[in-house]
Amino acid sequence: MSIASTQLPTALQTLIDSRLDTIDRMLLGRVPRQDRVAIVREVESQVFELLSDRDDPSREDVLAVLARLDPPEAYLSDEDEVESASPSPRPRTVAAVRSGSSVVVKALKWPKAAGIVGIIALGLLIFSPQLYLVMAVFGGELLVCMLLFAAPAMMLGGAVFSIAVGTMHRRSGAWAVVGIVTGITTLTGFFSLLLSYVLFAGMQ
Amino acid sequence: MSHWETQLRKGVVELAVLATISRGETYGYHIVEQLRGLAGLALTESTVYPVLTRLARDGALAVRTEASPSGPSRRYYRLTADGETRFRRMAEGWKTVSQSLSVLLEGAHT
Repeated sequence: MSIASTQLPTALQTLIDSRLDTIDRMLLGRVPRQDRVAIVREVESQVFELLSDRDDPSREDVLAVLARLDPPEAYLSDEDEVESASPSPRPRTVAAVRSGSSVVVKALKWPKAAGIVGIIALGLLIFSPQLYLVMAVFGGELLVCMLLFAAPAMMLGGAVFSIAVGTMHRRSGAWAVVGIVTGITTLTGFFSLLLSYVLFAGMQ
Repeated sequence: MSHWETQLRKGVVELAVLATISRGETYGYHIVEQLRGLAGLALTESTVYPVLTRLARDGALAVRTEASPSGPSRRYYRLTADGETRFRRMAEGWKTVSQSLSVLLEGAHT
Protein backbone atom coordinates (compact mmCIF):
# COMPACT_ATOMS: atom_id res chain seq x y z
CA MET A 1 0.00 0.00 0.00
CA SER A 2 1.54 3.30 -1.00
CA ILE A 3 1.14 6.33 1.19
CA ALA A 4 -0.88 7.97 -1.56
CA SER A 5 -3.81 5.81 -0.75
CA THR A 6 -3.69 6.66 2.91
CA GLN A 7 -3.00 9.71 5.02
CA LEU A 8 0.11 9.96 7.13
CA PRO A 9 -0.55 10.01 10.87
CA THR A 10 -0.85 13.57 12.15
CA ALA A 11 2.39 13.36 14.14
CA LEU A 12 4.38 12.37 11.05
CA GLN A 13 2.67 14.94 8.87
CA THR A 14 3.52 17.54 11.52
CA LEU A 15 7.19 16.58 11.28
CA ILE A 16 7.12 17.13 7.54
CA ASP A 17 5.11 20.35 7.84
CA SER A 18 7.59 21.66 10.35
CA ARG A 19 10.45 21.21 7.88
CA LEU A 20 8.40 22.76 5.08
CA ASP A 21 7.52 25.73 7.27
CA THR A 22 11.18 26.26 8.11
CA ILE A 23 12.10 26.28 4.42
CA ASP A 24 9.24 28.69 3.79
CA ARG A 25 10.58 31.01 6.49
CA MET A 26 14.06 30.83 4.97
CA LEU A 27 12.65 31.97 1.66
CA LEU A 28 10.32 34.57 3.13
CA GLY A 29 11.16 38.03 1.89
CA ARG A 30 13.75 36.62 -0.49
CA VAL A 31 11.64 35.18 -3.28
CA PRO A 32 8.11 36.01 -4.43
CA ARG A 33 5.33 34.26 -2.54
CA GLN A 34 4.22 32.27 -5.57
CA ASP A 35 7.75 30.88 -5.99
CA ARG A 36 7.99 30.15 -2.29
CA VAL A 37 4.81 28.09 -2.40
CA ALA A 38 6.04 26.24 -5.50
CA ILE A 39 9.44 25.46 -3.93
CA VAL A 40 7.85 24.17 -0.74
CA ARG A 41 5.43 22.03 -2.76
CA GLU A 42 8.35 20.54 -4.66
CA VAL A 43 10.10 19.66 -1.42
CA GLU A 44 6.90 18.14 -0.03
CA SER A 45 6.48 16.14 -3.20
CA GLN A 46 10.09 14.94 -2.89
CA VAL A 47 9.50 13.84 0.71
CA PHE A 48 6.55 11.73 -0.36
CA GLU A 49 8.50 10.33 -3.33
CA LEU A 50 11.23 9.23 -0.91
CA LEU A 51 8.66 7.73 1.44
CA SER A 52 6.79 5.95 -1.33
CA ASP A 53 8.71 2.70 -1.00
CA ARG A 54 7.67 2.35 2.65
CA ASP A 55 4.37 0.61 3.15
CA ASP A 56 3.62 2.14 6.48
CA PRO A 57 6.15 4.88 7.21
CA SER A 58 7.27 5.15 10.80
CA ARG A 59 8.59 8.22 12.59
CA GLU A 60 12.12 6.93 11.96
CA ASP A 61 11.40 6.62 8.24
CA VAL A 62 10.18 10.21 8.07
CA LEU A 63 13.17 11.45 10.06
CA ALA A 64 15.52 9.51 7.79
CA VAL A 65 13.95 11.06 4.71
CA LEU A 66 14.11 14.54 6.21
CA ALA A 67 17.76 13.95 7.06
CA ARG A 68 18.45 13.20 3.40
CA LEU A 69 17.13 16.59 2.35
CA ASP A 70 19.23 19.72 2.19
CA PRO A 71 19.03 21.68 5.46
CA PRO A 72 16.66 24.66 5.31
CA GLU A 73 19.63 27.05 5.52
CA ALA A 74 20.80 25.75 2.15
CA TYR A 75 17.94 27.69 0.57
CA LEU A 76 19.51 30.93 1.75
CA SER A 77 22.93 30.83 0.15
CA ASP A 78 22.04 28.99 -3.02
CA GLU A 79 19.20 31.32 -3.89
CA ASP A 80 21.50 34.31 -3.43
CA GLU A 81 24.07 32.84 -5.75
CA VAL A 82 21.48 31.81 -8.26
CA GLU A 83 19.97 35.27 -8.15
CA SER A 84 23.28 36.90 -8.98
CA ALA A 85 23.88 34.41 -11.77
CA SER A 86 20.46 35.04 -13.24
CA PRO A 87 20.31 37.19 -16.37
CA SER A 88 16.60 37.88 -15.99
CA PRO A 89 15.12 40.78 -14.05
CA ARG A 90 13.46 39.89 -10.72
CA PRO A 91 11.66 43.03 -9.69
CA ARG A 92 9.55 41.34 -7.02
CA THR A 93 12.42 39.68 -5.26
CA VAL A 94 13.37 41.16 -1.95
CA ALA A 95 16.42 40.13 -0.02
CA ALA A 96 19.38 41.42 1.84
CA VAL A 97 22.35 40.01 0.02
CA ARG A 98 25.97 40.57 -0.62
CA SER A 99 27.32 42.87 -3.33
CA GLY A 100 27.18 41.56 -6.86
CA SER A 101 23.53 40.74 -6.74
CA SER A 102 22.46 44.00 -8.30
CA VAL A 103 19.00 42.85 -9.29
CA VAL A 104 18.15 41.91 -5.73
CA VAL A 105 19.62 45.12 -4.40
CA LYS A 106 17.36 46.98 -6.81
CA ALA A 107 14.36 45.23 -5.27
CA LEU A 108 15.55 46.24 -1.84
CA LYS A 109 15.19 49.90 -2.72
CA TRP A 110 11.51 50.30 -1.95
CA PRO A 111 11.47 49.29 1.72
CA LYS A 112 14.71 51.18 2.27
CA ALA A 113 13.28 54.23 0.50
CA ALA A 114 10.21 54.06 2.75
CA GLY A 115 12.42 54.03 5.84
CA ILE A 116 14.68 56.85 4.71
CA VAL A 117 11.85 59.08 3.50
CA GLY A 118 10.01 58.45 6.77
CA ILE A 119 13.07 59.45 8.79
CA ILE A 120 13.53 62.62 6.70
CA ALA A 121 9.85 63.53 7.12
CA LEU A 122 10.08 63.03 10.87
CA GLY A 123 13.33 65.02 10.97
CA LEU A 124 11.63 67.86 9.11
CA LEU A 125 8.82 67.84 11.65
CA ILE A 126 11.16 67.86 14.63
CA PHE A 127 13.58 70.43 13.27
CA SER A 128 11.15 72.64 11.38
CA PRO A 129 11.01 75.34 14.14
CA GLN A 130 14.80 75.60 14.19
CA LEU A 131 14.83 75.61 10.39
CA TYR A 132 12.34 78.49 10.26
CA LEU A 133 14.41 80.37 12.78
CA VAL A 134 17.63 79.90 10.84
CA MET A 135 15.95 80.87 7.57
CA ALA A 136 14.31 83.90 9.16
CA VAL A 137 17.66 85.11 10.46
CA PHE A 138 19.85 84.27 7.47
CA GLY A 139 17.56 83.60 4.52
CA GLY A 140 15.06 86.40 4.31
CA GLU A 141 11.28 86.47 4.01
CA LEU A 142 10.98 84.83 0.61
CA LEU A 143 12.83 81.76 1.76
CA VAL A 144 10.74 81.57 4.92
CA CYS A 145 7.52 81.77 2.87
CA MET A 146 8.77 79.03 0.54
CA LEU A 147 9.69 76.91 3.52
CA LEU A 148 6.32 77.55 5.10
CA PHE A 149 4.62 75.71 2.24
CA ALA A 150 7.38 73.39 1.09
CA ALA A 151 8.22 71.84 4.46
CA PRO A 152 4.65 70.74 5.35
CA ALA A 153 4.15 69.42 1.82
CA MET A 154 7.37 67.43 2.04
CA MET A 155 6.44 66.20 5.51
CA LEU A 156 2.97 65.07 4.50
CA GLY A 157 4.09 63.62 1.19
CA GLY A 158 6.99 61.83 2.80
CA ALA A 159 4.86 60.44 5.60
CA VAL A 160 2.17 59.17 3.25
CA PHE A 161 4.80 57.69 0.92
CA SER A 162 6.65 55.90 3.72
CA ILE A 163 3.44 54.50 5.21
CA ALA A 164 2.15 53.32 1.84
CA VAL A 165 5.41 51.79 0.62
CA GLY A 166 6.27 50.45 4.08
CA THR A 167 2.88 48.75 4.29
CA MET A 168 3.22 47.24 0.82
CA HIS A 169 6.66 45.81 1.72
CA ARG A 170 5.95 45.21 5.40
CA ARG A 171 7.37 41.69 5.28
CA SER A 172 10.63 42.79 3.72
CA GLY A 173 12.46 43.74 6.87
CA ALA A 174 13.29 46.53 9.24
CA TRP A 175 13.35 49.38 6.73
CA ALA A 176 9.69 48.90 5.87
CA VAL A 177 8.76 48.93 9.56
CA VAL A 178 10.85 52.08 10.08
CA GLY A 179 8.95 53.67 7.19
CA ILE A 180 5.56 52.83 8.68
CA VAL A 181 6.47 53.96 12.21
CA THR A 182 8.15 57.22 11.19
CA GLY A 183 5.37 57.97 8.71
CA ILE A 184 2.65 57.52 11.31
CA THR A 185 4.63 59.50 13.90
CA THR A 186 5.15 62.34 11.44
CA LEU A 187 1.47 62.47 10.46
CA THR A 188 0.37 62.36 14.11
CA GLY A 189 2.87 65.04 15.11
CA PHE A 190 2.01 67.26 12.16
CA PHE A 191 -1.73 67.21 12.76
CA SER A 192 -1.25 67.65 16.52
CA LEU A 193 0.81 70.75 15.86
CA LEU A 194 -1.72 72.00 13.34
CA LEU A 195 -4.58 71.44 15.77
CA SER A 196 -2.68 73.18 18.56
CA TYR A 197 -2.01 76.12 16.27
CA VAL A 198 -5.67 76.36 15.19
CA LEU A 199 -6.89 76.19 18.80
CA PHE A 200 -4.29 78.70 19.88
CA ALA A 201 -5.20 81.06 17.03
CA GLY A 202 -8.89 80.68 17.91
CA MET A 203 -8.25 81.71 21.48
CA GLN A 204 -6.44 84.88 20.40
CA MET B 1 34.65 21.31 -3.06
CA SER B 2 36.79 24.41 -3.57
CA HIS B 3 35.37 27.91 -3.77
CA TRP B 4 35.86 28.24 -7.51
CA GLU B 5 34.21 24.88 -8.12
CA THR B 6 31.23 26.02 -6.08
CA GLN B 7 31.00 29.23 -8.08
CA LEU B 8 31.35 27.38 -11.37
CA ARG B 9 28.67 24.89 -10.37
CA LYS B 10 26.27 27.63 -9.40
CA GLY B 11 27.00 29.54 -12.59
CA VAL B 12 25.90 26.64 -14.75
CA VAL B 13 22.92 25.47 -12.70
CA GLU B 14 20.38 27.14 -14.97
CA LEU B 15 21.95 25.62 -18.06
CA ALA B 16 22.02 22.20 -16.37
CA VAL B 17 18.34 22.44 -15.46
CA LEU B 18 17.34 23.59 -18.94
CA ALA B 19 19.44 20.82 -20.51
CA THR B 20 17.75 18.20 -18.35
CA ILE B 21 14.28 19.42 -19.27
CA SER B 22 15.23 19.74 -22.95
CA ARG B 23 15.32 15.93 -23.08
CA GLY B 24 11.61 15.84 -22.42
CA GLU B 25 8.91 16.78 -19.96
CA THR B 26 9.84 15.81 -16.44
CA TYR B 27 9.06 16.60 -12.81
CA GLY B 28 11.03 18.29 -10.05
CA TYR B 29 12.29 15.36 -8.03
CA HIS B 30 13.33 13.51 -11.19
CA ILE B 31 15.35 16.53 -12.30
CA VAL B 32 17.06 16.67 -8.91
CA GLU B 33 17.87 12.97 -9.07
CA GLN B 34 19.39 13.33 -12.52
CA LEU B 35 21.51 16.33 -11.59
CA ARG B 36 22.57 14.96 -8.22
CA GLY B 37 24.41 12.09 -9.81
CA LEU B 38 26.49 14.11 -12.25
CA ALA B 39 30.13 14.41 -11.27
CA GLY B 40 31.23 17.99 -10.72
CA LEU B 41 27.67 19.29 -10.59
CA ALA B 42 26.09 17.42 -7.69
CA LEU B 43 23.15 19.81 -7.65
CA THR B 44 20.59 19.27 -4.93
CA GLU B 45 17.00 20.35 -4.36
CA SER B 46 17.84 23.60 -2.58
CA THR B 47 19.54 24.78 -5.76
CA VAL B 48 17.30 23.18 -8.36
CA TYR B 49 13.80 24.04 -7.10
CA PRO B 50 14.36 27.81 -6.83
CA VAL B 51 15.78 27.78 -10.37
CA LEU B 52 12.82 25.75 -11.64
CA THR B 53 10.28 28.14 -10.15
CA ARG B 54 12.17 31.17 -11.44
CA LEU B 55 12.44 29.75 -14.95
CA ALA B 56 8.72 28.95 -14.86
CA ARG B 57 7.91 32.49 -13.76
CA ASP B 58 10.16 33.90 -16.47
CA GLY B 59 8.18 31.92 -19.04
CA ALA B 60 11.04 29.61 -19.99
CA LEU B 61 9.19 26.60 -18.62
CA ALA B 62 5.59 25.47 -18.88
CA VAL B 63 4.21 23.72 -15.82
CA ARG B 64 1.58 21.01 -15.74
CA THR B 65 0.29 19.47 -12.54
CA GLU B 66 -0.60 15.81 -12.40
CA ALA B 67 -1.67 13.52 -9.59
CA SER B 68 1.18 11.42 -8.24
CA PRO B 69 0.95 7.83 -7.04
CA SER B 70 3.23 8.69 -4.13
CA GLY B 71 1.55 11.67 -2.54
CA PRO B 72 1.04 15.34 -3.49
CA SER B 73 0.60 16.15 -7.14
CA ARG B 74 3.70 16.39 -9.30
CA ARG B 75 4.61 19.48 -11.28
CA TYR B 76 5.80 18.54 -14.73
CA TYR B 77 8.07 20.98 -16.55
CA ARG B 78 8.77 21.39 -20.24
CA LEU B 79 10.58 24.05 -22.25
CA THR B 80 8.51 26.78 -23.87
CA ALA B 81 9.60 28.43 -27.10
CA ASP B 82 11.32 31.11 -25.01
CA GLY B 83 12.93 28.41 -22.94
CA GLU B 84 14.23 26.65 -26.06
CA THR B 85 15.77 29.89 -27.29
CA ARG B 86 17.29 30.59 -23.92
CA PHE B 87 18.68 27.08 -23.68
CA ARG B 88 20.21 27.20 -27.17
CA ARG B 89 21.80 30.59 -26.46
CA MET B 90 23.24 29.42 -23.16
CA ALA B 91 24.44 26.14 -24.65
CA GLU B 92 26.23 28.00 -27.45
CA GLY B 93 27.85 30.31 -24.91
CA TRP B 94 28.95 27.37 -22.81
CA LYS B 95 30.43 25.55 -25.83
CA THR B 96 32.41 28.62 -26.81
CA VAL B 97 33.80 29.11 -23.32
CA SER B 98 34.48 25.42 -22.94
CA GLN B 99 36.34 25.19 -26.27
CA SER B 100 38.41 28.27 -25.48
CA LEU B 101 39.38 26.89 -22.10
CA SER B 102 40.19 23.52 -23.62
CA VAL B 103 42.59 25.19 -26.05
CA LEU B 104 44.21 27.04 -23.16
CA LEU B 105 44.48 23.94 -21.04
CA GLU B 106 45.97 21.88 -23.86
CA GLY B 107 48.87 24.32 -24.12
CA ALA B 108 49.33 24.60 -20.39
CA HIS B 109 51.77 22.60 -18.30
CA THR B 110 49.58 20.72 -15.84
